[in-house]
Amino acid sequence: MPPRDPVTAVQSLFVEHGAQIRGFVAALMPDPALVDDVVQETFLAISAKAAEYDPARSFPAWAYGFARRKVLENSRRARRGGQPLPDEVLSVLAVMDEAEAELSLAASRLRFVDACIAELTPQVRRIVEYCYRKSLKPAEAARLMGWTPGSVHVALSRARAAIRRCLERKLAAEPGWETPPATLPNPAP
Amino acid sequence: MTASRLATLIDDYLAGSLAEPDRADLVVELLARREAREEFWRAASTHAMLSEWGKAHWGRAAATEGDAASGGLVGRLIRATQRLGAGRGWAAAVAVCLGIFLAAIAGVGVGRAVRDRRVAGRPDSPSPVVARVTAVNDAVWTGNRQFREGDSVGSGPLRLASGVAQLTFASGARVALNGAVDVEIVNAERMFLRSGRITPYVPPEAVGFTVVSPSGEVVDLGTEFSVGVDASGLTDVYVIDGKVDVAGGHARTQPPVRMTQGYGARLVSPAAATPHLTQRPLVIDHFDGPVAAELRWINLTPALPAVVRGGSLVVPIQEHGDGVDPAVRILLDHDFTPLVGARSVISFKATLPNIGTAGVGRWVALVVDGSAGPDDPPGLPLAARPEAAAAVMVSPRWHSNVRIMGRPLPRGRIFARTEEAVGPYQVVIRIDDTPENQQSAGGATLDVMVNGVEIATAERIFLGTSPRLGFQTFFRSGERPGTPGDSRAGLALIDDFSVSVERPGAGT
Repeated sequence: MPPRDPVTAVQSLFVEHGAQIRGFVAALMPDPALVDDVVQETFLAISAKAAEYDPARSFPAWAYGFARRKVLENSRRARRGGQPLPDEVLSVLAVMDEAEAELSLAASRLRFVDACIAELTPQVRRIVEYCYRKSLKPAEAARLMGWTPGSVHVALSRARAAIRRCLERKLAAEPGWETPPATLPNPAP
Repeated sequence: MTASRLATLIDDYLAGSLAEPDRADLVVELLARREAREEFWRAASTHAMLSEWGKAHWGRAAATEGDAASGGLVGRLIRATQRLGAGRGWAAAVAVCLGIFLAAIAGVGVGRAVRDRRVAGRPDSPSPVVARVTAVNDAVWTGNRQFREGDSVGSGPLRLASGVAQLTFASGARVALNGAVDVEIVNAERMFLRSGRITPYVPPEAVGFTVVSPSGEVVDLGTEFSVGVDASGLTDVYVIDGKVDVAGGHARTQPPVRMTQGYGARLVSPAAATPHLTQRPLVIDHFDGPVAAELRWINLTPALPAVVRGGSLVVPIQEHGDGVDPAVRILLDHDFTPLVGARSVISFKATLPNIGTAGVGRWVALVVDGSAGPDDPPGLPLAARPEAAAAVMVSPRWHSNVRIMGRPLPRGRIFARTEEAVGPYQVVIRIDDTPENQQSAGGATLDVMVNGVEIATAERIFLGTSPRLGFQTFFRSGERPGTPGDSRAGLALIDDFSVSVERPGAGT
């Protein structure tokens, strides 16, 4: 039975949508070391304002507002990852439907990530693991790999694109998933 | 910006290796184009998912060690809740939800539910009301929704293809949109102007209202100003009344430049952190009324009467004999009774001849300037001071009575600019219905002019007999501007004059 008091309700929703909210913060917070802090503070903020949540609204969209403010508050503490995007950019990014849609989609694809990463070449897989599992910066990964930082950078970018394509492929193969119409006709066999 | 360049910048940002000036480029692109923001989220969501994937591996490893609740995110949330003093209830609820969270990470149940929701369409989630449409005039909106007066507006993009509309924000700020204009409502205190021109009026309670453009931002300190963005992202700011802080770029590496009324600035690019003060007239679209109404004038100087010639009002100009201190008096008189108590917009375009002042060709009138006051910023270059050229002056008789946005205008002057471009300007004046005003206005001895020009609609302006509002135009370079002396005649043309007024109480 779902919890009834507002605080418990929003906290449950927060945990339910944790991956999305965390993704939102991770996308906007340049210092990965602070992502957990920001998510935690967002959790406290939505708990404190639980009574203001209108269940008719999208919970992630509501939570993103708090998360955005916490990103801004914490961005001054950032030691890694360069300067965050300025407030106005975060503001317009945070109100986009696209954010919620993409992050929802990303959350739903998490279960396929292992399989898609397995499709990468061994070296690129190592880079992904260094950067995302071990939270190394590309430059640090480059040193371990004996690559130039630029090469790691390019490889990461390509890896993300390949993983994205793989995820779309796998998700489309799921029964019940509505595939978008093809923009190009299939080539003749 | 090419797609590949954008992708590179986003990748750099996500990798934490984006430095200036690339960062500024990305900022501009994200602010200016929705497609860029969509691309950002496509890349960022994959990045975020991979981060989550990394965390999930870490979480599973931690769980194997029996430490998930103490070391993982959920454990941190539980501790945070406890620190908040919420008691065991919250912590217990979070702990119960731990299973859901881990299931989500593992891609069981919740992931499917989220995906199904995506397939079924986004749940209804209206944005909170940030502003309301408080006036429209032939407004045609781009998109599915045609906003009408009284409609609420939430955060998000807003595009007015043509016509005029006014938004009143929850903060109290009122913003006139002159189509075509493309804005993004951020919140009640902030909006982004992607292209086109807007004129915000910011009452004291809304001080701090900020307009962000691709090349900088303008923070209103209680005033009215006009800001426009052209196709290249170049931003012009023009202060109609009060003062604003103008900052180039978004990195805030330099303190903003404070500008008072009558001054303009141009923001060239985010890389140029300091606004370029400019004398170039910044065209402010005026609100024309569709129905012409009669304007009258009185020739103050019988020897040099103003006349209508060729469809324009031709105004005599007096110039001092030495040719150095020319003075031109042009006084407009009109019955502004219907403007009493309402915020009105008066605009006109004047073309003045080149007499007495080198390099002066066409003159555009209409900048309200209260400069040289105690609040004026020190150190503004003289070149930015418009009185170096010419001026249209609010009649001294009206100084104590004419109010600009509710404040007396003790030194109110409307300056002309020497510039190649001629365009309409706006003056925003509140006429208070005070006995002093009536008395002074009724006794005005003014020359009046303007021909066949539009004066809003009968519906919006009801002409009466008093009070009157006068303008005086003169060339100035001496201690006592406009002092008649030996003179030679010149001609000034006022070929556009229009007035509109908000309905009393609208948007307030």
